[in-house]
Amino acid sequence: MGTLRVKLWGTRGLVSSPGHDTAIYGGNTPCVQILHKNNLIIVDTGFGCCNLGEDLLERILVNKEDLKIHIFYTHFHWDHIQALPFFMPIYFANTQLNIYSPEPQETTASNLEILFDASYSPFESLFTMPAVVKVHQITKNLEIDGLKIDFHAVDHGSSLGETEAHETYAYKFTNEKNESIALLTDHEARSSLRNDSLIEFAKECNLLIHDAQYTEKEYNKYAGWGHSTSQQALENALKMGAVKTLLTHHHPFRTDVAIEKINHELRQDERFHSLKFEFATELVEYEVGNKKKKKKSTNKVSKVG
Amino acid sequence: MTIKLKLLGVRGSRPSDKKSSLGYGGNSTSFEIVIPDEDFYLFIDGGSGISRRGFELGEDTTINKFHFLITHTHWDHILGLPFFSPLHAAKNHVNFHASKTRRHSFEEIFNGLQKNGNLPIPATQLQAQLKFTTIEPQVPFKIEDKILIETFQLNHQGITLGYKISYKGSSVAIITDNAPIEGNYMGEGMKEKALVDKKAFEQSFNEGLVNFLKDVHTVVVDTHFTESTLKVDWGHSTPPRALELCKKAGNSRLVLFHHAPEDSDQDVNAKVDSILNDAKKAHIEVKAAKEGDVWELCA
Repeated sequence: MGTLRVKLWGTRGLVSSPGHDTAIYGGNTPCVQILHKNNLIIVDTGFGCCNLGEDLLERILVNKEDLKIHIFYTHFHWDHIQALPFFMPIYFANTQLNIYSPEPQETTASNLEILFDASYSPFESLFTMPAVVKVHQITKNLEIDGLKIDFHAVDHGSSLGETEAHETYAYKFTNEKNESIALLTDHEARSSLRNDSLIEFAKECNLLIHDAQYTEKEYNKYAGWGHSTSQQALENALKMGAVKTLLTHHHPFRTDVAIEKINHELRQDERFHSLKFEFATELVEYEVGNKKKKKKSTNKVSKVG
Repeated sequence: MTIKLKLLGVRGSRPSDKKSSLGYGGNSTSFEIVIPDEDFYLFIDGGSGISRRGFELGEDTTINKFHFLITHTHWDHILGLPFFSPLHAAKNHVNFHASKTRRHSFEEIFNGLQKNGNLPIPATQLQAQLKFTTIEPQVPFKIEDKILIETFQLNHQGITLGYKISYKGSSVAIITDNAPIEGNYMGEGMKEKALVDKKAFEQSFNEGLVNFLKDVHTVVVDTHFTESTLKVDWGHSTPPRALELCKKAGNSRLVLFHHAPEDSDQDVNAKVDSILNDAKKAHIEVKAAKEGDVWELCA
């Protein structure tokens, strides 16, 4: 109950990629669940949130619980928002959905509204769904039941459009014991003032979850697209002094075998010998804390030192 | 030489990635009509299944003409399109054939996918030459003067099209999303027609659909629900109803489609089992759509 944990329900970037060859690391688009006390806190509603939603159905239908769910958005690219209409708790009138973003409420609402537009869906509006939906613009110093939530704009690429409608944000979750998770998805960790500032933001976090969509070879073509290479992510991890790093936002068509190959190559890289890192695996629960490392249980819980 | 139907995505409502459904596959709706010795590709819908196919094809294809038949614009049928690699090459010509609803044309919908702030890749990436052709339901047309396309407006939101594709004597019909019509008028314009005379409208719809499918060898039909889970206003149908349709239309092979995202492989198998005996008596082969399957189409 006291430990801060995180579970990645989706680790795949851009578009869902289910299949036999992505079954280990997972094919769902991003959704991160922060497990703090009994609170339901998630970041982004890529298709990974659907499996979480199905899990929560038991609590709604069998346990008759009124769920209060906090959804934080890093940004509004399709892969990070698209599955909200399919998130089962939204179909129940006794669900409270609190939606948060550092962007103005109207920006958040309008970006999510299109998901429920009648041209694309059988619905009319986010706000006519059964759940009670509230959209909040978050400011610094937000706290939920003792969990501090902070945010910082990231570098999500100059090639994505000169008139980007909104920023993309990193989040940091810190509990009462000062254990912290820093989530830097969709961040391009190239040399910049912003990256320097993010290094400060995530300094000495217990668990760093960092975008690592590209290989160095791919980056030759995709520089400026707003994603990091694994090497850039780990260089950030070194500078931040992160205790453990999860590399996420896998390229949609990168097979499990290919990810393993990159993993192996990174471990041969002397620069990263001192780092504890792994490629984020869907459905694994990672504990964030200062306890001794335990053996992996059959429930796929992984300890972070 | 016959054409083939390749199933690129068979999951309904949304892409679904669960260990228990890896067998039939989790990519959302997309089909390829594989036409030997032709200089164009033909696809139906751009669910997440099309992205994977696009990755296989890459940007640098030797064939540079692409046609898409769009059934309707619900997310599960279009969300994969921006990531279809051939759309990223300027030398490619891509023609989208779709209905136009009161709300939007398909071109507006497609442009909406590229809205600033929502598209995870630069909008400038979509460099192919695009053409948007509006289809009127029940007005046949030809792709590249070779493939006959016939359409029928299905009972689902907007103007959802059932497609019948015919080429050199072989054909297939694809009914991706279609709900029972009785007292349940979902398609654009249907409520107005039913207001005049409900019974006549329902009869004309049901007979029209049977005629549309008449004697087609293979039909792919929406069987999202079972009879016990059926919610007609969601726009989908069941295996027994799909089988009844095929019996009336004289089809030889029924492919169950639009597997619900929560369906495990076992659930899909159960759907097949639920109508197998009945189908055998009617000499209809029943299969469940499986991602990656390629069906040779017969006369």
